[in-house]
Amino acid sequence: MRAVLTVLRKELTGLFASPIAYLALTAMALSMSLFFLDNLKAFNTQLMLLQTQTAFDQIRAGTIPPGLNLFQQVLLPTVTDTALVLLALIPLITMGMFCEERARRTDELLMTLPLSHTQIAAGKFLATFVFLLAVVAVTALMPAIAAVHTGLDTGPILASVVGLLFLSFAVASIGLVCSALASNQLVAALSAYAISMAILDFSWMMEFTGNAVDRVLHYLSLMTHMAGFPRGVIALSDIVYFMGLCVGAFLLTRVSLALERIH
Amino acid sequence: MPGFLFSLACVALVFGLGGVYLTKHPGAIAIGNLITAAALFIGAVIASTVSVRRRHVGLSRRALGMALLHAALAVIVMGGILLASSRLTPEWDFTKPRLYTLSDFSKQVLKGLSVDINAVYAGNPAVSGQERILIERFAKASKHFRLKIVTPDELGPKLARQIERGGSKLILFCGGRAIKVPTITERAIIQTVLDFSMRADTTLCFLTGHGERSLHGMGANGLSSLQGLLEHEGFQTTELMLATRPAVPEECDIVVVAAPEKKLLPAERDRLRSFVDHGGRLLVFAEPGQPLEPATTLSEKGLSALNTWVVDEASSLFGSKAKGTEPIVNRFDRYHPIVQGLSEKTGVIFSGARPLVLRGADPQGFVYTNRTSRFEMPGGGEKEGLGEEAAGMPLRMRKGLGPFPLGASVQWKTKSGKEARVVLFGDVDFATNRLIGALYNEDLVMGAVYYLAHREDRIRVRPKMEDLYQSPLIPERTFEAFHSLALLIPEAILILGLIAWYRRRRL
Repeated sequence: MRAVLTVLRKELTGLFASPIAYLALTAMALSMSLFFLDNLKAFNTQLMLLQTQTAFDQIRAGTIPPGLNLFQQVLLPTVTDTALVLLALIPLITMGMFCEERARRTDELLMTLPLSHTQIAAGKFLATFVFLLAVVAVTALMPAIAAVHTGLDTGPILASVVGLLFLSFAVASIGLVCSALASNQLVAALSAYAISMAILDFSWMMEFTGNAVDRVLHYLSLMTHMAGFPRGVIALSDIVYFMGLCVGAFLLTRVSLALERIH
Repeated sequence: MPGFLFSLACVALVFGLGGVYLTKHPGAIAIGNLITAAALFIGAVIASTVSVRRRHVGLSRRALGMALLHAALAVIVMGGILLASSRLTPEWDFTKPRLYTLSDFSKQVLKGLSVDINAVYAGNPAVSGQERILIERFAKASKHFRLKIVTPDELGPKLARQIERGGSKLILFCGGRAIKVPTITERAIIQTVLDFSMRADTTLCFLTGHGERSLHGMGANGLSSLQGLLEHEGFQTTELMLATRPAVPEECDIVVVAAPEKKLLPAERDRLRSFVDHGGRLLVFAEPGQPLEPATTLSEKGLSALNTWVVDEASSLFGSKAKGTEPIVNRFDRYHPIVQGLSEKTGVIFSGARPLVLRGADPQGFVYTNRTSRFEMPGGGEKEGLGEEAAGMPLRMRKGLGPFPLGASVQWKTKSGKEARVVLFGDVDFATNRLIGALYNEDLVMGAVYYLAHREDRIRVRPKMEDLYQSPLIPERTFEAFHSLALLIPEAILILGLIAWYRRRRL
């Protein structure tokens, strides 16, 4: 465990000593704020329109049309937008985790240390997850402030944060295995994007497949398992699905490291 | 070379899928990109196989075999976990009103089901969405609710036509009857279940002939929505012209007096009094400026109402034309059976309500306005003009300051040993078509009806549509705070990054 923590500390120091981590966090915070404010602005415009209509007695007094609430108009689209930004950002964070070691030739040093492949991979995975915790915490700030100011239901916000966290872990795991297998950072990032995009949502393929395949494809889609979280429902099956992706990616990374040591 | 081909394949795949996701349709360019990606991937695999052979020429077959075995094991473990996850059913509903958990009302109805209901849902059996999750919860809650999921092709022509007409894809069958559920919401499904399972055993007679609100009235001030709700839940409703009858008919279990505009005849009052004295039950709605009837019976039981109206500007619904006189009330006596399930978080909206005056120990108030409320005299008169009504009222109320009771009940044993019950509301608008669907109004009215029907065990809050939970609006100042925070947080993080970068350069 100590060895894993040593790798974790080394990776985190490396991440936070470089401006890239801060740039990523800034980009995340800024995009989240912009999405949130944009959605909030659209919501307020709709409310103003509604007030005008009410004045002309076009809608029943004392009621608001279905769906016109902060939760559906602001929180849900913001979480979806944030998930997409995370999908775009995470491969950029993970691409260097193994590839950069290779490019700088520090991988040979790492391999000669008295560390097993499992410990190296675990340290790198944990470091990425800790960094992603910071990223998701930044994204959670705006909805949290909204909850404090407006009495918005905190359950779906909390569940959304948990969902974003698990989604980030899954995508980061894919990014890490790509980084471990790829020859350079560009290939690592592109392959992580390709795999994440491919498993994001299989619904479009269902037009060409049969029922049994539909079922499998639907179940394998990332978005299927992300859908419940922003609505405030956390299902054990969704958590285990994301954890399964992480475990699979971790084991593959370990195999990749073992092959590298054989070389 | 393999890396270059692989990168190109990834780019083609990302943009191909991006096109599909953005347009929600696999167009020609997207398909072209996907085919190119597939071709490039094959090229990359061939090139990398050649390359690996060259690179791993010195590598032992055993080592390579072991690596491949480990990779296969990793894929099997991942597949196993994903397969296992599909079998897991536990889930937690974190929403405050438990939107995705069946309400106590639905659970109670399903628990008491005595007939078999077969539900047919036309959808892709492979795809489990929010709708299906909800229907499956019904099936789990009762063995009498049986669910069958079929593809639209598997439906017979008759059912297929019903589905094609639009609306939901759920049809319930029971005893040779088939009803298509209008929308797949908990409320709509449970209402359809109630249609099949409820047997009317209590009759409500709505008094007419004095300008009362019409039981069949479809307009904003009518009571047709309440009538529909009552019949859905197993009550019979009928109109009662008491002036033409010698007494309240025997089939009337509950008499409803919905804000008459004219006073009742003395003979009618006597008939109602006799009805109550023999264990009958009364549900009375009052309105400002209209007579409170049956005056003598109510007064004898310590119930009356001020001829004023409640104003509460601090608690009004958004969009209300009559701000202040349409207060949202969320203070309930938690020990009173009528308001079981209602709490501070479940408001009821009244419109032009009369504050009730409760005298003696018998009447029990169960719904109260907030402390921010006050009452106003008709035409802006002085509060001193209350006259004898003011006697016995709490001092705060005499000054016209809330909280005021807007609903009260009284019950007593009659000489025949039966239990008579009377419920009085200071408003009728909250039960009319205009407002009964708003907030928790229907739950309050139906709570009173179940109480009068001696079926307190059935008093529950009905499932609500998600959209009823409106979040409060963001005031301008909060919006400004968001603006500053939206810029301050990224700025602070960027400054930290610059400091880290500068410190690193100096090392």
